[in-house]
Amino acid sequence: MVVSAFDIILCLTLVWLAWHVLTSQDLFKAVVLFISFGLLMALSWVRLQAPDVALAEAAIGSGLTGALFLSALRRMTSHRRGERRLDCDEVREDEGQ
Amino acid sequence: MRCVKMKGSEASGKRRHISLLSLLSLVMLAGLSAALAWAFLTPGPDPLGLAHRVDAALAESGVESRVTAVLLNYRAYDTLLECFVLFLGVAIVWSLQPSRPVRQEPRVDPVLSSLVRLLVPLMVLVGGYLLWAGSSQAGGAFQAGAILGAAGVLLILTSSRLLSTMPKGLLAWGICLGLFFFLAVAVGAVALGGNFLEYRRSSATMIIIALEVVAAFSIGLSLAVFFGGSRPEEPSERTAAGRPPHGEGEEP
Repeated sequence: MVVSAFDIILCLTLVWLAWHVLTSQDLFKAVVLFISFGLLMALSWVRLQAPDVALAEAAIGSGLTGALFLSALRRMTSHRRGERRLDCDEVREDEGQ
Repeated sequence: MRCVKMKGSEASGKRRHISLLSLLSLVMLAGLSAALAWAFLTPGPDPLGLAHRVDAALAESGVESRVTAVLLNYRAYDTLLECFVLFLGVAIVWSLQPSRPVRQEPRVDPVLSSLVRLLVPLMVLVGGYLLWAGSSQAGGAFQAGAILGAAGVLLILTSSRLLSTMPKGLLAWGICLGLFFFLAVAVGAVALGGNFLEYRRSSATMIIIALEVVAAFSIGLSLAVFFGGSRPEEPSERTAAGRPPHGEGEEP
């Protein structure tokens, strides 16, 4: 009972995190959420009795990819400092006024 | 650049477009979830899949772990192709133009450097353990390689010139080593009269362990090189600050 409640909470948290990764305006926040998503994903692989996949997910999906994202983010922000970086398919509320 | 100049009306039109897109993706997501739930709830013809066949042949595979047996014996072909994918990834990353280092001055955080000094030996130990554990329980070449790659990333973080101070030939050979060894094993099996990637029962354990060690080394190196970015420049080729030595815009 406790275990299935844990699984349900894990699933809901994963979906919630994924949604916030995609919709977050702040790229740094999105990267941090992505890393925590990867760690929870590794936890759910453990719950699915696939410890090999869990290890690979935690190390590659979360750790290395997160480090790559953070490094890319640092390069982006240092390239055009003071200028807000926008992806072309997302427009903020206060833009264009 | 273009979106910064966008006017308000265009922006609202774009927003409507986006909300339509997100609605569409929500519908598709719901459909996918329903299909997955249906697949999960209706039992297939053989719920065990190939598990019993894997177990039946486990004694011949040379290892005790089912996952390792599948990855490096039954379906070693897939793992060989995975090594090819990593190799191709490194080739693509190295074909990119070198980027200017973010920090010009070599400033190393004392917290970072002491943390790395503590963590890297531990990570090498954990990687070695995962490699060794791979033959009987969870772990294996890819996991060990990932840990080694993470250790390499930490080392690169402390000194961004690390990759360029390494001899480039050594680096390239280290990356290719796993793939070449895998190919040599595969072709060697054919030369000895077997099938492609078929191991003899007597030597299967030795071959798999050797493959795992070499592959983990190459995987770790490849992942660290991914983080390093473009092909590291030779120390002698390093010219004026920020000018890419291999760039197309290089003046004669």
